Amino acid sequence: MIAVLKYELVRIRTVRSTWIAIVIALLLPLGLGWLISAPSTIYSDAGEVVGEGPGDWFGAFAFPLSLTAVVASVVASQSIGQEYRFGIIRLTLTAFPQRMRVLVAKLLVVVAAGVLLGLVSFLGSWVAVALRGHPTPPDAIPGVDTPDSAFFLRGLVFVALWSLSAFALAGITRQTAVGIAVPIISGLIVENILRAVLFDRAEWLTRILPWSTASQWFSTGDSGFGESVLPSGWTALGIFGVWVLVFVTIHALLFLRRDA
Amino acid sequence: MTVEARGLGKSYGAVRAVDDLSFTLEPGVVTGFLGPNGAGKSTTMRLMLGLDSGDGQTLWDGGRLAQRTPVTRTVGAHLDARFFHPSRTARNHLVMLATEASVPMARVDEVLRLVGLTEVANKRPKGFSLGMAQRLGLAGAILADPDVLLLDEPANGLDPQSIQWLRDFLRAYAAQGKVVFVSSHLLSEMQQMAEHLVVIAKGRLIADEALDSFVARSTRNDVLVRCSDVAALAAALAAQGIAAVAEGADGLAVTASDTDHIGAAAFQAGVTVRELTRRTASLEDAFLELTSGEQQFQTGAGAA
Repeated sequence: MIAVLKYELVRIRTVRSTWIAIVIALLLPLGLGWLISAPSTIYSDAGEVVGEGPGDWFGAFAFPLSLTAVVASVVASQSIGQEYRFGIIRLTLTAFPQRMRVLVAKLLVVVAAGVLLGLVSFLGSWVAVALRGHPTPPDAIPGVDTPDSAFFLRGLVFVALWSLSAFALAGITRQTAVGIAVPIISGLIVENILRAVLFDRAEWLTRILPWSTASQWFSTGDSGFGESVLPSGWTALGIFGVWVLVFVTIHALLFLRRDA
Repeated sequence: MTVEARGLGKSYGAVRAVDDLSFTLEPGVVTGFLGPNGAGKSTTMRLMLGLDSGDGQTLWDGGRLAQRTPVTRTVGAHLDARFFHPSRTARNHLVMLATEASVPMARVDEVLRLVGLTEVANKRPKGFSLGMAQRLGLAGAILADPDVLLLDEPANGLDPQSIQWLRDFLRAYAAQGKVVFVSSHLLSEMQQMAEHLVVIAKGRLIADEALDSFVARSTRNDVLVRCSDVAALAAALAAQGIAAVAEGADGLAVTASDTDHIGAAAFQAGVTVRELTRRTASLEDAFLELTSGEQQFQTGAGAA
């Protein structure tokens, strides 16, 4: 198991795209975090500028991380899709005939890469807000749950699960592009359409759509849209986790049975 | 180390690609793997390595491959020249493959030097020629100094000097008591490289024998006689039950006999012999003859 893990680590660190992903995961939150954490302008009733309010500190972390999840999904999809595209899977499975070990090693490395990219993303966001002069979270707002360390933990779990979903889809179809595109297209377009269509007929279904539900990871309590519309926080990740488990299980069954 | 393929079989839908194929690979000799296009050679190699699911099993010194660790010290396989990531350098490609058997980095450099890729070791292989890609694939196969080499068309794209190097290398490798199993369409090269042949067609075994005996089975092994009286010599040979076919104005092609016997027959018949040549079939002759009608994909005859 150690050998196949080492193999996977060498594999992932010796392709240029992994390092490009890390750079993007750092620079994207840095730039976006800088913009999002800009102080807001406070106007008087007369429309005159009367001062500056705090920037969106948490938005500076949450929004870039959602994009980092897409970057992580590229790394995850490539880790299986490119093996099939370039035939390297045959070298891998010749050296390691125990396919379950190969799969477990890949899953572990995908999760580790996702967490690493999530941490890099948080680092970029932190540098951005620190440059704005707000290195620590703002004070709690009365009546609103204040994000705490669980906020960051949920963020890392979100990126890891998103990566796993991309990895599993790329593995099922043996196509890198599917692993990258399906979560984005489904989360942004398909599931929104489904939500609109299903809202009056089967509202419960709208709460368990995978990728749009996962994107509620940053919610701390009430989603803001009302609990009846979207789940929040850990619940959202739990629902997404079940989806990911289904995807990974299907991928595992195919990976163990199909010709390399 | 011996490798026994037992009852290998594989179907793609209704097509039986490999059908109950059994053979044994012995150490110390280069075994050539021949067959027409679509005969099932690559599928057989994948079945042997467990990459494809199918019938039968392959025993590596009596056991399964997965039970032999590190696996890459048991078998090194080169199945396709383009099995690499285009943005991973040649050296890193080998470093990755080295992890299974904990092959030291010095060996990586040694193998790169052996296949002549030292100068491009840190270059990305996406720009490699087919010949360079073949060398990288071969480097990966021999990296852990395995007991068995499985090579699928390793000579494709190599220049004549490289083919000669490959031939010498594989013969020397086998001479160390290792198993070398190599498929190739270059029959002239195979004739110089292999000592034993496994020949398949339409997924079935056609021959599993020494190269010399395989070639000897060809009817194109004959003796050419040019003489003063073709009819008289033909009659003399026919009287002894030896068949001869006219070839040109003054020639006979005689099968199932030898030069001594034919010379004696000509002398007794009073025929002056101008030429007496033993003609040995090439591997290509024998292969084409023994696999005629067994091609999976026939070319169109007389196509414009």
